[in-house]
Amino acid sequence: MESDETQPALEELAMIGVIAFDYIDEKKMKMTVIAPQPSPDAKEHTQSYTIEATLITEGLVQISAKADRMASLSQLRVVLFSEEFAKKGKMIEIVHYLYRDADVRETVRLGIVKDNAGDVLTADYPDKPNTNVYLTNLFEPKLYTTFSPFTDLHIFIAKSTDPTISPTVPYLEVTEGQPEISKIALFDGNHMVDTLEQDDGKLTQALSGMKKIAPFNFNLSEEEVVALEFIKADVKYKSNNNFDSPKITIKLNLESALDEYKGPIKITSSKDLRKLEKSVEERLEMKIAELIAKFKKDKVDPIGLLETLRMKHQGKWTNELTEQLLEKAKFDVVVNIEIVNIGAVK
Amino acid sequence: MIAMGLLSFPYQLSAVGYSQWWLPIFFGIIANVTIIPMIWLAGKYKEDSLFKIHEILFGRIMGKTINMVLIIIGCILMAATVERYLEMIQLVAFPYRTLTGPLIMLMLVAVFIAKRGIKSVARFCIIAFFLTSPMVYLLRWGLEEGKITHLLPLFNFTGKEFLAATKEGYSSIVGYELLMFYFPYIINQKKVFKHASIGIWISIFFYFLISMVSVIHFSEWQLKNVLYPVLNLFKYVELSFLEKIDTIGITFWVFLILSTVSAYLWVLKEGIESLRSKKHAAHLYIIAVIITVMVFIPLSQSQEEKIYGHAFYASYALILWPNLLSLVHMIKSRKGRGSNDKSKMVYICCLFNRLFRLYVGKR
Amino acid sequence: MCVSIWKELWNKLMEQANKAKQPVKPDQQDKEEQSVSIEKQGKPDDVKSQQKAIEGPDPSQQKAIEGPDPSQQKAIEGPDPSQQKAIEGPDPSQQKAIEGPDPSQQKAIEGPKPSQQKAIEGPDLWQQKAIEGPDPSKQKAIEGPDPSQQKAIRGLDPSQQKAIRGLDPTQQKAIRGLDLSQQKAIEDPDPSKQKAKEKLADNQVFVNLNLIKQKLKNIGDAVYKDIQTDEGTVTMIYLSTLVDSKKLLESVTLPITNEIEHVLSTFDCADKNNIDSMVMSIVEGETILYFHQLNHVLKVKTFSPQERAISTSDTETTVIGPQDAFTESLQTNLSMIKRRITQPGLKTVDRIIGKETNTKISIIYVEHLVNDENLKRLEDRIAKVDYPGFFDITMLKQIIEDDPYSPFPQYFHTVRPDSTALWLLDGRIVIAMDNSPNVMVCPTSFLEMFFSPEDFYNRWTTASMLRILRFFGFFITIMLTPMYISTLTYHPGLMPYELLIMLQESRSRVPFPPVIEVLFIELVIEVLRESGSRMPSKIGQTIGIVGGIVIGTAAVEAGLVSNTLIVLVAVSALLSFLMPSFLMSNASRFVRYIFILSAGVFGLFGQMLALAWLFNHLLNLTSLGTPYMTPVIPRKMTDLYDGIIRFPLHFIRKTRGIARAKK
Repeated sequence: MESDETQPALEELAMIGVIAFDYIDEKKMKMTVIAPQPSPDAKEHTQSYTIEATLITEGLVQISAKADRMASLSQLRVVLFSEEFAKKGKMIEIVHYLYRDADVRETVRLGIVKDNAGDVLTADYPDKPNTNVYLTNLFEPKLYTTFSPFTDLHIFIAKSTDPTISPTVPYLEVTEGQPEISKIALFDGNHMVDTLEQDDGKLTQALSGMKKIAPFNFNLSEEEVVALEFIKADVKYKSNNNFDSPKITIKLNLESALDEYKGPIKITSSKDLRKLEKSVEERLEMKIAELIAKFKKDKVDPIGLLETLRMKHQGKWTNELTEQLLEKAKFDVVVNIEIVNIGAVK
Repeated sequence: MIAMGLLSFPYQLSAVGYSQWWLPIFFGIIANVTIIPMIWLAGKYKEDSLFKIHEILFGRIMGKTINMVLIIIGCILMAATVERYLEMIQLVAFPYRTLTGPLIMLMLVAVFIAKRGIKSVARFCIIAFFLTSPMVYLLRWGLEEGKITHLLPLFNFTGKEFLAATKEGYSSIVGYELLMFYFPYIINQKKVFKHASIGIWISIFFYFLISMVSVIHFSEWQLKNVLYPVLNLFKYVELSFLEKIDTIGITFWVFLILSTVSAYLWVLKEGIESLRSKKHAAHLYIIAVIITVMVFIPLSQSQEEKIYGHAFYASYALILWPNLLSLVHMIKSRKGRGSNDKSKMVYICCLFNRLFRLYVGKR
Repeated sequence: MCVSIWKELWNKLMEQANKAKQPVKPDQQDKEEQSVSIEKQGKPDDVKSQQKAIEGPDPSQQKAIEGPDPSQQKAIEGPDPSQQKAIEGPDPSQQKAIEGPDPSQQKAIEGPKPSQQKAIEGPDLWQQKAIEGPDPSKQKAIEGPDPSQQKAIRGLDPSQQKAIRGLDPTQQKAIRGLDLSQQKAIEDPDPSKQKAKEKLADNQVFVNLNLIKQKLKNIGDAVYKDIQTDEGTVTMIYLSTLVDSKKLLESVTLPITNEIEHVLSTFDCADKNNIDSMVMSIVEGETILYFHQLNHVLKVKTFSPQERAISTSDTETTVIGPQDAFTESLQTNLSMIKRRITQPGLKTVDRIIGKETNTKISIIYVEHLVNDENLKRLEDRIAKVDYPGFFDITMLKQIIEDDPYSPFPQYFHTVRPDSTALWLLDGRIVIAMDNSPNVMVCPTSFLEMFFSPEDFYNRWTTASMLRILRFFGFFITIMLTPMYISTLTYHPGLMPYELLIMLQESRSRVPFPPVIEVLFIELVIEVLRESGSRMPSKIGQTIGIVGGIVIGTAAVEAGLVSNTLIVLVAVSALLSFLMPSFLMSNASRFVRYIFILSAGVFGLFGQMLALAWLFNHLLNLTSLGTPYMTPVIPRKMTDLYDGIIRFPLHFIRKTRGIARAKK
C-alpha cells in the first residue's frame, strides 16, 4: 500500500527547472541548476546549485548531495549553454543525452548565452517572483520574439540530423541585468558557427513558412523609415529539378498593415501606396539575397531551401550533397507585398 | 494485432526511410489476401479450431506434435510481448522499481479476462478499441511540428531495403491468424471474410496514421535510431493542464496489451485442452505461470533477441500455413471434389508457396 | 422434495380414507340436501340419482352436478380409467380434486401423481399444491351430516361450481385461500394435526372454536364477538390491530345483523375443517364468522390497517413530473401502476414467498411486450427461493440476482411509479412486494443506472447534458483521488509546474504518504456520511457543519491533509451522488477504494489495470441472462437513441434490445 522505499516522495524531489552548462575544459563542464524550494519556511523560493562534473549523471548525483533532495529531470524546461560550449561542439553530446533520457520531455527549450550561462541562473531578479518561471516564460513563443524560432530538444535533433536543414537556437545576451534574446545562433550540425541579427531572423522565419511574423522596420533610405506589421506571410518554393545547375525560385507573398511611416512623401493615394510597396519589395529582395549569400558562406541552411529538390531526388541525400548543391544553386527571389490596412484615419 | 508492435512500428520500417508511410497499406493488402485461405480452410471445418484440424489432417500423433510446437511458439511470443511492454513501463512510469509486481498484476488481470471464455475476450477487445482509439487525437501535436514535404519522394528505396523493412514491420501486423483458433465460436460464419477484412483495415488505418505522422515529424536519422517513435510523439503533446502525456499514453496502452495477451492466453489454453482432450480450469493458470516464468528468466539481451526474433518469424510461417493445410485437405478429400475448386486452390497455393520461399530464401 | 411430500400425502390420505368411510352413512342426508341444493340450482334430477352422482359412478348424476362440461361429469366417477384421463386434463382435474368423496376417486386423483401434477400444472404452483391437497376435507365439506352443513354446501357450491366450470379467478382465489392451509397441511408431518382433522369429522361444532382460541392464545388483540342474528349466534373472530372498526362495522356487523341471507350467499366460505387455514386468514387480517347453528364458517376480507398516505419520495425526487411515490401497501402500489397503464395486457401475477413472513409479491408485466424467456427465468428463480423472511424487495433482489458477489446492482429498483410504468412499456418485468416501498425492475443494463425519469420530462438537450454529466461523473469519481495518489507518488512529471509547486508546498507539511492521507480523508467522509444519515435532523445539521468546516479546515491547518486533497475528495464525494440509483452510487464508493489501493501500489499503471478489471467484470455481468453492458456489447443501434445522449422523443419508439421484447 505504501510506496516502495526506493520511490522518493514528492517532497524529497528537487524538480530541476533550468540547467545551464558552461565550458571549463575539454573534459569538464560546469553545471548550474535551479530548483524550487517548496517549504514555505525557506527564505528563498528557488535554490541554485553549481557543480563541476564530467558526465551529467555524475553532476546530478553531486547536486542531489548538495540539495539534500533527489534531483529529478522530469520537470526540466529550459537548458542553456554558453557560447563557448556550443562552439566547441560539446553541446550536441548533452543534447543527445537528454534526448535519450525517457524522463526528460521533448519540449525542453534550448538557448545559447553569450558569456556565462550560469550567471543568468544565479543572478538576482528582484522584480520577478520566480526565476524558474521567468526563464521558462522567456522562451515561450511570443509575438515580440517571433523573430527567433524557439527550439526544443526534438526540433534541434531533427534538424541537426536532417541533411537538408540546419538548426537554430535563440541567443541570449545579458543587458542591464536582464537576459534578452537578441540574436539567433546558427548551427552547422554539431557546433555553432554564426549568429543572425534580429531582422535576418525575421526573414528566416518568413522564408521558413511561418504565417505570422513580427513587425518589421525598413530603412528605405536615410529619410524614409517604414514600419510594417505583417498579417499574413506565404512563401512558395519552386525548383527546376536540375541537379547539375539547380535554380530555385522563391516567391514570398506578404499581406501587411502600415504601422508607421516617417518620411518626406505623403501617402495620400493608392498610387503612393503602390510606390511604397515597390520600394519595400526591392529592399526585401536585397536583404534576402544578402541572407542567402551569408548562408552559403557559412555553409548552413536554417530554412531548408533545398527541400524542393530533395522531394524529387531518388536515393540517399547526404550532407555533402547539401553543401554542393547549396553552393551551386541560384536563387531567384520575388517578393510581393500588399498593404491592406493603413489605419482608421485616411 | 496492435500490441507492442505499433509502438515501434516506424522504427521497424526505417529501412526504407521516408517512404515508409504507405507501407502499411501494402501490408494491409497482404494481410487481407492471406486471410482468404484461412477462412476457406476454417469454413471446411466449421466446428473445429486449428488444433483439431491438425489432428484430422495429419493424424493424432503428428497433429499433437504440431500443436505442441504451436503452443511453445505462442508462449514465447507472449513472453516477448509482455516483457517488452513492461520494460517500456519501467522506462516511462517506474524508474525506481522492479517489475515483479506489475508483471503479476498484468497476468492476473489477463487471466481474469480469459477465464470466462472467448466471449469475454472479444468483449474486452471491443472496449479496449473504443477506449484507446481516441488517443489518435494526440498525434495532432506531432503533425504540427514537422515538414509535410518529407512525404515525397515516394518510392525512394532499393528492393533490399524494402524487404528488410517488410520483414521487420510485418511482425507488428501479425495477430489476425488467431482467427483460425476461434473460428468455431463465431456465430455468423458466412460473413467472416467481410468482418475480418474490416477489422484488418481499421488496424491498418491506425498504423498508416502513425507512420505518416512519424515521417512528417521525424528526420531519417531519428527514424533509424529512436526505438519507440510513438512514445516520442506522445511526449511532444502539450496540454495546458497536464504535462507528460506519454505516461498516461503508455499506461492506457495496457488495454491493448491486455486484449492481445488474454486472446493468446485463451488460444493456448485451448491448445492444451486439445492436447490432453480434457477441459480443466487449471490449464489457464498453468499457461499464465509459464509465461510469467519465461519473462523472469534472465537471458542475455542478444539471446533474447534471437529467440524472440525466431518466434516472430515462426508466426509468419503460421500465416502462410493454411495454404499447406488446404492442400493437404484437398488431397485427403479428393473423392468427389469438383475440379473447379481444386484448380483455383492449387493456383493460390502455388502463389503463396512461391512467396513463402521468397521470404525464407531472403532470410 | 416433491416426492417425499407426495409420499406423506399419500399416507395421510390412506389413513383418512380408511376413517373417511365411517361418516358415509350420516352424510347421506347431506348428500340429499346437497342434491336438493343442486336441484334448486336448476338441475331437476332425481335426489337419489344425485346422491349417486356424488357417490357412485352415475353419469346422469354427474351431468346433473356438473353442468355444461361433459368431461367434468366423468371426472366425478369412480376409478374409471376415463375418469382418470379426464382428471389428467387441465380443467377437469381441478374440479375432480374438489369433488368426489370416493377414496377410489382420491386415488384416481392422486394415483398417477406426477402426471396429475403436470395435468394440473398451470402458471400457479401454489394452486397446484392446493388442488392436490388433502381433498377429503373438501369432500367432507360437500357431504356433511347437518342442514347447516347443507347450507354450508350451498354456500360452498357457487364457488365450487365455478370451480367446476373452469379455471376462473374466483376459483383460484377460493383455492388459493385454502392454499396455505392445505399446503401446510401437506407439508406438516405432524401426526397430532392429522388426529385433529380426524376429530373434526366427529365433533365439528364444538371443537372449532376452542381450537381456534387455542391457536390464538397469547395474541392479545384477538377479539371474539358473539352476535345474535336471524340464523342464530354468529361469532366474529378477528385481530383488532389489523381490522379497522369502521370497516368492520360496515362490511361485517351491519350486513350480518340486517341481511343475513345476503351474507350467507355472497361471502366466501372458509374450510371449517381446516383450522390452520382459518387461523391463517385471521392472522392475515380477515374476519372469521362462525355460525353456530349452521356450523358454517365464513370469512370476510377486512384487512385495513393504518397505511402511509401516498407522498413524495425522499430519495428520488425530480423537479418536474409526477411526485408520487410507492408506499408500503402492495394494493396501493399496484393501483398506482395500473392507473398509468390501463390495458388488460398489464398482468399482475401474485406469489407468496418467505417461509416465516408469507409476504405477498406481485410480478407485473405487459403481456404482449415481455419476453417469455425472461419471464420464465424469473419465475423459476422465485419458485426456488427458500428464505425465512423478506422485508424489502432488495432482500429478494439479492437472492435472485445473477451474481450476488458483484458490487454492482443487476436489477434496477425505484420508488417512483412513473419510471416503473416506463420500464413496463419497455418490456421489462417489475416485481412489487408488500411492505416494501421499492419495486424491482429487471432486466437492466449498466447505462440505465444513469437514467433518471426526469430525462424524459426535460427537453433532449438538457437531458443529454445531464446524462453525459452523470456518466462521466461516475468515471471521474473513481479516478480522481487515485490520480492524485499516483501523480504525487509515482509520476510527478505529470502536473504543470505551477501546480506542482503548490502541491509540493502543501504536502511538505503532511507527514504521511499520499495513500495514507487519501485513505484517511476518505474514511472521514464515509463516517460523516453514515453518521449523518442516522442522526436526528436537529443534531445532524450541526454535526454536518462541524464535519465540513472544522474537520476540513482544521485538518489542513494541523497538517494532517493537504488542502488540494480536501477539494478533490469533496468533489468526488459529490460526484458519487450524481447517480440516480442509490445502490449504484454505493457501488462506486466501494470501487473507488479498490482504485485507491491499486494506485497506491502501482501508480497509474495500477489504475489502468484496475480499470481493465472493472470493465472485464462489468462485461461479464448478466442481468436475468441478458448482458449487462448493452447497448455497447452486444450492439443495437436504435438503443443509442436513448443512450448517453437522448434524442428527441419521436426517435425513441422501439423497445430496447436488452428486453428482447416482442415486436
